[in-house]
Amino acid sequence: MLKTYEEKRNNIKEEIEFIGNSVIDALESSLKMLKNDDISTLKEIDLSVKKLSNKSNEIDNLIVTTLALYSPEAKDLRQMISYLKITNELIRAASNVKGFIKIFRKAFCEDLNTNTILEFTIPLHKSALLSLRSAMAMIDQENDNNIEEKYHKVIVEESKANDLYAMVEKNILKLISKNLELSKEYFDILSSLRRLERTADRASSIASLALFAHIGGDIMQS
Amino acid sequence: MIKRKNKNIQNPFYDASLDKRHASAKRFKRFTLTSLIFSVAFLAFFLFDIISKGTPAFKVTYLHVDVTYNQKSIEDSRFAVERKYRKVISRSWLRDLPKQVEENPELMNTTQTMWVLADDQVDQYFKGHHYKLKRKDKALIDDMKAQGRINTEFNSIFFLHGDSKIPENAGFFSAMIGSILTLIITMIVAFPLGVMTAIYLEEFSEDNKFTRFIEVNINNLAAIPSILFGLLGLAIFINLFGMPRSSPLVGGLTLALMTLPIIIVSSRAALRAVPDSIRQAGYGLGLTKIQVTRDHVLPLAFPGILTGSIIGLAQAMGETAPLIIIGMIAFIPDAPTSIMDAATVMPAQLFTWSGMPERMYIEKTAAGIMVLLSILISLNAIAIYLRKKFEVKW
Amino acid sequence: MVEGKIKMSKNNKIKVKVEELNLWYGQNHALHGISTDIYENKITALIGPSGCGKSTFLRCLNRMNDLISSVKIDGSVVIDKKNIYDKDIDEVSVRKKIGMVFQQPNPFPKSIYENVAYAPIKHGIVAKGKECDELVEHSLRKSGLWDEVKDKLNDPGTSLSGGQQQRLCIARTIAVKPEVILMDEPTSALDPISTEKIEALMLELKKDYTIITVTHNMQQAARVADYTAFFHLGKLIEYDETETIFVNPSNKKTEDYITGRFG
Repeated sequence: MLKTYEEKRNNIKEEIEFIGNSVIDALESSLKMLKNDDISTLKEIDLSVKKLSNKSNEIDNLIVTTLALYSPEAKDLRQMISYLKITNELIRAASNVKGFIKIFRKAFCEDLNTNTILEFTIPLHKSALLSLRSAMAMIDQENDNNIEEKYHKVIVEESKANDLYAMVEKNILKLISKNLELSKEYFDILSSLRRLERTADRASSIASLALFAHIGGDIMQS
Repeated sequence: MIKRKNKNIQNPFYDASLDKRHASAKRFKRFTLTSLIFSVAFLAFFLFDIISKGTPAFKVTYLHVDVTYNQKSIEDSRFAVERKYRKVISRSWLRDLPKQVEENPELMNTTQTMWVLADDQVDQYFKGHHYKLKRKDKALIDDMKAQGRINTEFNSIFFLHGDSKIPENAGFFSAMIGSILTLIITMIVAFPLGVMTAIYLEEFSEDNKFTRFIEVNINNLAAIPSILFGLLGLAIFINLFGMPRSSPLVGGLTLALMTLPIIIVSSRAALRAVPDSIRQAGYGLGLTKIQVTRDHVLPLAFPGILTGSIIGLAQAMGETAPLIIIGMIAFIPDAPTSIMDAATVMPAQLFTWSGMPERMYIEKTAAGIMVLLSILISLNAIAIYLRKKFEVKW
Repeated sequence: MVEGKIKMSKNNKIKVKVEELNLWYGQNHALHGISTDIYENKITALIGPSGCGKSTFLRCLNRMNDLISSVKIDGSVVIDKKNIYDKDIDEVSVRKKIGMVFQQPNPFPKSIYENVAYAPIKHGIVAKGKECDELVEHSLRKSGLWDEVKDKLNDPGTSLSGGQQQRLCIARTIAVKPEVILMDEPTSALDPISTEKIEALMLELKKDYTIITVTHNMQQAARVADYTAFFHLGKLIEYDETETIFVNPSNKKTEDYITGRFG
């Protein structure tokens, strides 16, 4: 492999990891705050989707240039294409996380049944975080060992998130039926939690793209 | 019939015209083979003829007789032997008697029984060829044969003596020396001139009408009948420059003129065979033309140049016509000692011998041809060996 | 018209400045008014379909076309502030400063050592002996061949494989300490592994030399070159940074060539 190609590829990977880590950091901080029941501090989390979007455009242009200049094939080509699509997924995940933080913070108030909410939110949040983290770990991985295991982990967490969300939905609807005047707040909470579930979906997309890069087959985005 | 049809239908490679084409190819092969056999047959016949005629020449007959060395016999050597032997002993041997006594003074006043060179007719008779002996001489020889006093030995005279009017005394030596001297001159003149010309024409000259004109003329020179070179040599070297007639110097220069076009053409071919990429690489490194030509092109072309020169030399060795014109078919009994002496060359000597009446010259001519052929073959073999040895593998 | 020249001033020094270069093979006008700047310590690739004049142009830069008698040249090639076509310049000295590597590897039929050592000794760069040995080792190391041949320096140059022979030719070229190296399709006669080695070598060499290479293989130009020039029918159509040429060429002809619509 030409050294210049390797340098370019590593550069792209680092930039993608930067975006991923920004999102993961935001998720970790918010999880900590949720665990400490410190919802107001959520507003301190700094996640600028606009900045990340610009970076994603930069990465995409870099990928175009790299494809033009180096005409990679086989694994290298799959890797480049997967990076190209992963940037999109990461931006969507970022906007989902930002959405969760904004809406949850606004909607959360003492009037609501905070215990129940937190009881369901925290595991859902954890699943979203774990799935994203594992998906990002798949990108970082150099060789093909255990890649399928990691992929499984992501899928497991994603399905856990789906199940958890289904349960939360049921329970919040129950709470709404009891306190109709708080229905708007509850619906907002639900919609913010839905964003967490979508984050897990994004993570599984990223994971399947990373699997495609390593092992091959066809691209299958969820 | 049906079976064949089936076979053909099943066989996807069947081609109906193939039989005819193969047959015509076979015919052609047989035709070329026949031509080859013919050529080889002619060659074999020629070799057989020469060898069978020439081999007897390598042995010559000696007679065992008494020879008296005394004052009378030194003055007139006919008295050295008994009367009956006078006709059967070689005149040349008798002629040498005084010199023998000079070399071995103790022979004086003695009578020795020794092996003496026989007359050429005796030699021919003994070898079973056509002869011209008087009846009593014949009887004498038969007697001596019965007594075992007649024998053949290796003919060192052939290789050590020059030409002679006495057949049994004639040898090839002076012709060989003459040939060698002539060819040395030829090579010294033709080789450097030819190679340098080829280098100039191939590497240095520009491609314009003038050089192409020179090229065409050089190629034509190689095809000119050789006798014209003889006339050229006569006109320039002998008449204009006044060089000694019939000398190896003139002969060598004439042959050099003849060999020059051949050397130029073969050297040019050898230089051309050097791939241009070598020269390009040299120029690309900032080398001058001389450096590229001398250090890179010439070593590669050298085997080809050498081969071409040796073949030219071999050809020159066999040339007779131009040398006849400059007078090298004179009668040369003594080997030349310098390049200015009158000399003869091997083919010219053979030409002279073939015109002599005595029968012994026939076998001497054939033997001379064998010597000449073997020298030519070994020169060509050397050329092939040198070319193989110096060939640079790519 | 050459486009995109203005963008490229940056901090790059110009090593070779070509102005209105015209060349005729007899009556055939092969190069039409080529003007361009080649930058120092960069790899510049010349691409274009067969017969477009890129090799001819390359050979003008070290006056190799002077060896062909029917050639007439007009215009100037300025290197280090001197036009190499001036009357007072000896073409042999030009070729010492501007080396050339050819398409077919053409080592001299001498030993590996002598291949590298011959020209420097003749130019008086080094004396025979230890100085020369060091130069030979240095050149062979730089061209990545030393480890493979250090035990057989006296073997003939032609006993090496194709890729090794080409690296030997590169070592030979850098032994005379040129400033510019011209490469005329250096890898087109080699297998892919050797090609990769030579490309990696080119990227190394550009730190010390200015490299101008002609290549039929567009992908090679894309991989190694910093700047690419596209030639067509003896004219310079476009000259720009490689990235621009391959992602966003300004001229339609360039784009057609790059996308494989002709040539």
